[in-house]
Amino acid sequence: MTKAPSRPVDISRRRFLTGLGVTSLGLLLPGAAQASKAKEDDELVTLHDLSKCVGCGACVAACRKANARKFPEPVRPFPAMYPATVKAEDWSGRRQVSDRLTPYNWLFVQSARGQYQGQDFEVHIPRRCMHCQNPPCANLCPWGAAARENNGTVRIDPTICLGGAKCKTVCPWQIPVRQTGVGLYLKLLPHLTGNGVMFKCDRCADRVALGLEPACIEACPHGVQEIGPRSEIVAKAHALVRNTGGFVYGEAENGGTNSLYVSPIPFDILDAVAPTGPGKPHLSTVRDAMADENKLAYAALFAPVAGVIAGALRLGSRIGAGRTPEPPGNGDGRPKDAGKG
Amino acid sequence: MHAPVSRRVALTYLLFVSLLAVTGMMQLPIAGRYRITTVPGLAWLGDFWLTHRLHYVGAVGLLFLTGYLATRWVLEWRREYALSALGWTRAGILGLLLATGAVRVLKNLPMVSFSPLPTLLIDWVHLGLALLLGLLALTRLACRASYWDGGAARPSRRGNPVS
Repeated sequence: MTKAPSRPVDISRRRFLTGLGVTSLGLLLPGAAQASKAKEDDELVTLHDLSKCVGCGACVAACRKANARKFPEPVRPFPAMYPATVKAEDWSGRRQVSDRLTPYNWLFVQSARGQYQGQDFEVHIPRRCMHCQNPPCANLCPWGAAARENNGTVRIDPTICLGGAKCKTVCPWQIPVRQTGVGLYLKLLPHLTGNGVMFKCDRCADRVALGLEPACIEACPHGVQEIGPRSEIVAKAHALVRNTGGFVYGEAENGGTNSLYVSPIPFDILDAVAPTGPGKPHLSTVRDAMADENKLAYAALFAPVAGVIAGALRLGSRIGAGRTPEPPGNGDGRPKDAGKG
Repeated sequence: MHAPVSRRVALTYLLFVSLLAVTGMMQLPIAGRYRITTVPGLAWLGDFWLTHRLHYVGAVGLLFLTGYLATRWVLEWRREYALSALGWTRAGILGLLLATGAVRVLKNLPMVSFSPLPTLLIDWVHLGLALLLGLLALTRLACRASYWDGGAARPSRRGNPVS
């Protein structure tokens, strides 16, 4: 059997394409991401030693004072929303609320009282954004308003946010809170898109940029909190757990956060007795919300390479079978006159 | 001139692009606001996590198909099936769309950080390109133009040109 003459194939071009495929693969490999990959020690982590917290609220007051200029000043009247089922969310008349998270209160103290091993306990827990290592709010924000910075701080840009509240929906702790009547949506389609701006702790990014500590840490009279590089703070948290027989929260939650809590009482017990609900985040175990996406990401990065290989193999199999490369008009590989007469 | 791809491949492309368009649009928080979720059978469109994962699945499929077809076009079909200006425009938009999507996927990996401005630009460019791709497809249909050189689009025995 003689092979049918095949279309001359430009070897140098094939080599070029092979090289291109290999280069693309190299670029798509995780190693190539190193350039933009934050070094672990670029991340700043806060450690809360809950055995020291007396619930005085000095951190809450300091947070409100330090961030007052960032608080929303809504324009009234609010634009009528379409459809009418969309409700305004207005906290501007309740600025003094301090027992939950609001656009005017980015930190509150959650108090848990109960019994553990036959003894009464009262634990006070400063609560605010956990600053996840792989934050769903920043990853799923469709508008680019939420982002994670190299130092691990997760911020929402109030000049861009449209207040769709998706970040709150996908946040495992539903931390961000909306204020209607402020932000970019007023200049776009105020009746049809957006509903304000989402607000949450930015870990005093402006102060940290100046080399200062976040206001809540600086103001604490009992030294409940400290901040530092991740490896150092995680080691301190582990040492604290070892020395006190305590428990840690935030290290593994949602794949890892940059807010660690160490408590003498197990967190599932605290979660059961602490007041939780809207604006009052829970203390439950949280699985890594982005775990499935992380697996799919690698499939997506290798898919075009697999496609190139499949395309090349298709040509190779045709040549190997003694057929010419695909003739025009026969994309499914059948002869041009297949099915005729 | 009709396209070198079969109807099956064209439909697969259409399936992936439609899946990506729908799940991509649903990344905007509109399903709940505009009560799309109350339409029987469409409640799933309000599940951000489900639509996000389906968007990734669609992207895996489209990336594979693009790699496969681009390779075959370069190695086998290029001489007989030159791309028209419209075809090159689509290829460019699709390439940029895939590239910005890939960058966004990379950014979503743990410990990979982009500063806020590049994140914003990638998001907006990706969204804009998706709209352009849709407009291009509508333009092609309205003008009965072809992505391939050699005349207007017409159905072939193997299937319609990929749109």
